[in-house]
Amino acid sequence: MYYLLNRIAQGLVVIFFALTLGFLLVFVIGDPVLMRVGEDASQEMIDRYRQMMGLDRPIIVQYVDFMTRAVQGDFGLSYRSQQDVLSLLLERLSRSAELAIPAIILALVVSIPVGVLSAIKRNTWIDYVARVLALIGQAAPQFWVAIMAIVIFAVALGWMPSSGRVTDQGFWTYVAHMAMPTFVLALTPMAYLTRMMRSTVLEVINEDYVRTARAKGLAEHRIIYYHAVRNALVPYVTLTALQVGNVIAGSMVVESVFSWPGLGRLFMNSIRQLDIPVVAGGLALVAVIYVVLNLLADLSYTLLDPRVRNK
Amino acid sequence: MFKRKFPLQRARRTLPTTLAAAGTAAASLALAGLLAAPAIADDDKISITYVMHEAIDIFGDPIRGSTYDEHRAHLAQFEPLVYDFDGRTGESGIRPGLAVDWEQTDDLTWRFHLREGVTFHNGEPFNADAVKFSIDRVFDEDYPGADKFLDVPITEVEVIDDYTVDIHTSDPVPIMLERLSRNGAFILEPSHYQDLSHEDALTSPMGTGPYRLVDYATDEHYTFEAYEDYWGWDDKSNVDEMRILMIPEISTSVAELMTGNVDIVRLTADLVRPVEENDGTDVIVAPSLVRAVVMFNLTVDECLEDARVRQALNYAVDRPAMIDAFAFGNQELAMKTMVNPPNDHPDLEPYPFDPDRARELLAEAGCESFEIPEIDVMQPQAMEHAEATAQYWRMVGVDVGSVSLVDPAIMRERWMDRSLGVHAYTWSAAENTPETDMYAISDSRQRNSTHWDRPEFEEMYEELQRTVDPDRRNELNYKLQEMQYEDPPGTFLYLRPIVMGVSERIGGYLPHPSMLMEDWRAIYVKEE
Repeated sequence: MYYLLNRIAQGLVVIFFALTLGFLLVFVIGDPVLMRVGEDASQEMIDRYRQMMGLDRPIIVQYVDFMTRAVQGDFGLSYRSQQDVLSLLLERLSRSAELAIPAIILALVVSIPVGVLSAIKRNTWIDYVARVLALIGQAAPQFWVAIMAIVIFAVALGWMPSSGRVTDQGFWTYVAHMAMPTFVLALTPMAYLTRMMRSTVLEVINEDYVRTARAKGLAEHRIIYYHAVRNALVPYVTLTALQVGNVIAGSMVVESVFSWPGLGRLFMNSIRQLDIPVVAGGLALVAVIYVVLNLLADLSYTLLDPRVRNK
Repeated sequence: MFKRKFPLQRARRTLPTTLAAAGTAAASLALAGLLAAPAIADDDKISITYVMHEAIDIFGDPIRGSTYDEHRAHLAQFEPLVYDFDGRTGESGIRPGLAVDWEQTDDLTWRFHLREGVTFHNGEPFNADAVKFSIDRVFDEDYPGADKFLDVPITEVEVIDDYTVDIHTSDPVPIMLERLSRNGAFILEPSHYQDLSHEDALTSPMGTGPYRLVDYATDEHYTFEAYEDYWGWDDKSNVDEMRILMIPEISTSVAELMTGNVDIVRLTADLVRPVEENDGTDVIVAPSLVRAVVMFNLTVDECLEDARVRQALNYAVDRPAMIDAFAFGNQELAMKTMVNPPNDHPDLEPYPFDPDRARELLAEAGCESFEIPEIDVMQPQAMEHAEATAQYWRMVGVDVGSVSLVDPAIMRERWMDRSLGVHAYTWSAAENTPETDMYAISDSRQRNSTHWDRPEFEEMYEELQRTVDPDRRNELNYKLQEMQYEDPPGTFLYLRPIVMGVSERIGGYLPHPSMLMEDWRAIYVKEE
């Protein structure tokens, strides 16, 4: 329980700093008032808008007001669309999740067997191919991969639609539209997780308890599954949690190229338009996602590692 | 190899809804919803899809739109008293819009005879009261200061009768008609807007235009249906639904065009060939008022205060080569000053490419190797001419630092407080008049980051705006151009052609040369 409370407290501190950072953005990245009034606006008009937006108050007053509302989930209205920021963020988060969740599942489904296989078949052609593909997946810029996917599968072959999120033409049309962005989004975590699984399995299979298991005459698949993979899962789960956060928060490029209206595109447009409530709220939301995922990862250790549970 | 064309009808959703649950729960719900039977598309409906790239946040108040795409989207729903372009023929020039006829009753009064039988999208009649309301609204002191293209000294809009209106000014306004063709003078429905706050109006359109908004999702699409009672349809008009699809990445929009999912997209030079070679798509290269320039900031280095140095930087640039590379080789697009043809000075020629002369002038000024620490690029499309210019300047010995895109959020602030360095941009003249062409370098009227402040220029520019006599206007216009040529506030490069990729099924489409408008009513779908 102490462990759990400690982790929650740490998470709250992170969220507090994220909120503060979001608030400070107002004073760093530009003047939102100037984005709202025209270029020929008089100083009087600028002052009037500053007052209307509450930006003429002392910074500390604005900060307390912002934090008080933020902890209640109230980030105000978007300067751009006049929509409630939290609703807007949650709506876009759900769209991003439509790509992120299958992307992570795909990454897990591929990375675990390939990583394990690569480790136990070390220095064979299987290992070489897996390592090269993982390296490419990690190194290839998402932007380039996305454009190439469109050029090959949409334009040249005509197998897939190039962009957009289509929801009114049945399930398979929807799946067809999400397939390419999901795959591109999955590549980076797939590569990271494969490399992580390979290296941790390699470490584990040289441990004494694995040698003992072999000496006991256990079947090789049981040794790999019960002794090697399960022990390799602890760092793997941590990295997976981070990758889920990265996929959701870092989907800007993929969402732009595939014209998917998720959190990434919302962020991009909001930053360009200095829509501070959305940027600040989004920053807080991403922080919450990271904190919750890390907390879940920490909690999962208690399932995976009895030493943590007993402690 | 088979090509599967995905259907033109795409996502159609209601206005953005609030989702109560976050993350996975919402995703699951969305997925579950998709398993339901697909919506039945109306296959008889004739639809066109136009791709835009910039965010459209303002679509209910044409005066406050700030991006090119917002301006263009507005013209689908709103109309001016006079049009300045016909998309069917590509011809520019003032022609009737909501006004059928007009005359100047004296130097300070313009009388407009309005079109009868026109209704707004809510069925309310268009009349002189709507004209008065729309123009008075812009001049209301509570109205947020927008980019007022209607920056003319209007003193009163007088309703003579239901379909006649007089616009009185304190000074003569020779380009009144051109100004009234712009978004600042689009006509709004009074009863709809008078109850809305200025902020609510941003997303609540009500005009007389050919299309009315029926559905939108921010950052996704804006769907319009043809307004049946629109006065301006002709025999070829057959579009039932017009969709603006938001695709931020140009190469993705080109892929959509080539696979038949969209009809009109903007192109960059590198994407012309694939669209040309693709079956079913055409490329339109249209005349343009959009100028590619690199403007100086005279406060960056004392060398830039010397006109010889700025001349040298103009001599250093190889315009013909840049036009070959970026403007399809049409050398007539080379700029002499900020003023576009046909109002350009007949006796001036674009600065020739003469690096030796450039070095001489720099040496004369004692600035052989002065430094321009950075070039601020104000839009992505300005990057190509900014980088090329920087390289030419380096070749004559100028120490040019980084060439970097300024984030729009920061750019606007720096533009308004005049703190940009040497800066590159493409800028549309909006209307083809010398006054508007020189707007950007007038210290009195715009956030002028050049710090090129010439009282004599300002005086003559002010006089030009109020001068009706054509001979005197020409005289003033040419003198103002000579000043810019001898004492250049920037490096004037070329008019950037407008390049569009268009599906072969589309007829009646030619882009407006300013890129700030589209003649939506002219577009039709050819019989297939």
